[in-house]
Amino acid sequence: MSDILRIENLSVSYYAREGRLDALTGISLTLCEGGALGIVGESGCGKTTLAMSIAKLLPDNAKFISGKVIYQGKNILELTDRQLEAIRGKQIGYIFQDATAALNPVISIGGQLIETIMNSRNLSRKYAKDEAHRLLELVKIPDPKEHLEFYAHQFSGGMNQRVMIALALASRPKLLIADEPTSNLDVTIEASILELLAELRQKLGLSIIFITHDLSLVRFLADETAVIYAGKLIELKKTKELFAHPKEAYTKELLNAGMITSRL
Amino acid sequence: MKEALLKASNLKKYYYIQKNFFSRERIEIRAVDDLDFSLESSQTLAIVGESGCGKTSVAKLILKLIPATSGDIIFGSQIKNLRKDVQMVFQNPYNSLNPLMRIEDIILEPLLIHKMSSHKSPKERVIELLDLVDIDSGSRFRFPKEFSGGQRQRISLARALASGPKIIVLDEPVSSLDVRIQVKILNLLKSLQTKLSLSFLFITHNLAVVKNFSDACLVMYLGKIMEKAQALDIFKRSLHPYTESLLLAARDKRSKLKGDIPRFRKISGCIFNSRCPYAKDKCFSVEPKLEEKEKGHFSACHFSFDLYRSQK
Repeated sequence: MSDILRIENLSVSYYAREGRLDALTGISLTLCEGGALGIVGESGCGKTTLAMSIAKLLPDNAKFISGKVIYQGKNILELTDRQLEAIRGKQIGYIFQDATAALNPVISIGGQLIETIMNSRNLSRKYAKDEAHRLLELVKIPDPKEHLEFYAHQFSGGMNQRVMIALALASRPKLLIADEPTSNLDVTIEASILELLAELRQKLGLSIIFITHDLSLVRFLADETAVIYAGKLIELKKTKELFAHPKEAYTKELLNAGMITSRL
Repeated sequence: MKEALLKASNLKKYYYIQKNFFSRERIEIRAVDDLDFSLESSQTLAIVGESGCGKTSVAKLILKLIPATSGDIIFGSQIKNLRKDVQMVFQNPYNSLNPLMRIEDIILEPLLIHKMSSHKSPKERVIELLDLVDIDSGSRFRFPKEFSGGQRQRISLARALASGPKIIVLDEPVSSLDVRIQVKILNLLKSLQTKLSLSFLFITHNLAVVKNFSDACLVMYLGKIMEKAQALDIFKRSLHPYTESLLLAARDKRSKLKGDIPRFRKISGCIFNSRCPYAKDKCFSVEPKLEEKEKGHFSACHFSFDLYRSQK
């Protein structure tokens, strides 16, 4: 299988008045088409910086010190904003941690979906509406017709995360980056979102990058898992292999913590 | 039998909301519906349930932050001053500490309010409290924003400990933290419990955390108790399909439940019937009562026994 994404020796630093902060140093990763990669680390380890670098979405004070992000043969870091527009949100979709905050509170769910679909795929409003309906079905929101009229505040956190997934899928992306998609959801809802992601991957042939602080979650989704600590990649292995034979002490500690908070 | 520190009986809290902006009609929401439980000294009682099940309302009722619709909360003779002896640690350490106050002042405040003047000066006591929760006392002049989530949760804990409480209500104390930090906070809580003989009311949505941490456990759904037992019994053999699905979610990240909590709908029969994978005709007409199915093990389900026997 060919690689959809290849990150080579990526280093990113932030510049602030107080000085320079190296967020990522020498990260190299590959993701094959249809694959799922888990990225695990604690808050502040640089995992979100990594997620954002993939579509060059970092703030102005971030500098790419070295490295390449090659998406389907093109180095994202060298593209102009105009060229990136065709990729951001279209070929690479994002879902974030706090779905309720990420949705627009004054536009209905249907309105947001239709707008996204019309923008990304040049469809007429009528077709876009059908498509929105179909997307809500895809992410398993019951009574899609009724729920298109809903606003974000009328949904629970789990339902909003489903809407976010539908929005990310509206432009039929090839790569979905999920940055802590379940971390403020209940365990039962977390489980159903993980199931949904695994199913969509199968159904649509999506490649997924799944970012989390909870190592026990990647087991259910990712083929390969990368552990990041203080901006460095400390372990990258097949997920099964990582659980069976963790090499680094830090990985072992994460694994133990995950066991206590999720094993019974 | 030991005297209970706290005993709640027939506790109810109903909220009323307007149906829509123009109508006068009000919808009754039963956040807490007929709850009975007791907390004994040096014990941990866990209240488990999904968001919206009324867990936080229970916490607020106990602290008398909101008035109960009906029912009683009776404190044992050890509780003399409610505000002093019952303290709370909130879920979100990012917005439960005043951003304009230094750590020292945050912890000093309860000491001064409750006039906790022992042989030491209050400022020395602050240092002692920070030591207790493993925060470097040299950093006591800093502001909350300079600390990480886990450290802030420790500071909240130090503040709760300041008045020398008997009961601490922990409302999802670890759920906004990284897993590695969660374990550290839980271990800290456990060691403080033995050191200071505290009782915890531990509110969480994650059953897995409960197993290693609590003595008794209460599973709530839509304001009602679904299952009540010693924590270990619940893990050995849960007698309610809701508990079973929570266990499954925590353990295997698989969900058996359909859809969301039906928050505003009137439900006849068992309140769990819309999401229960085993629901039968009886569940839609008759409401099950909380019954003692095994010794000390209560469950509100018509089928508890048959259900599990047919599975295993």
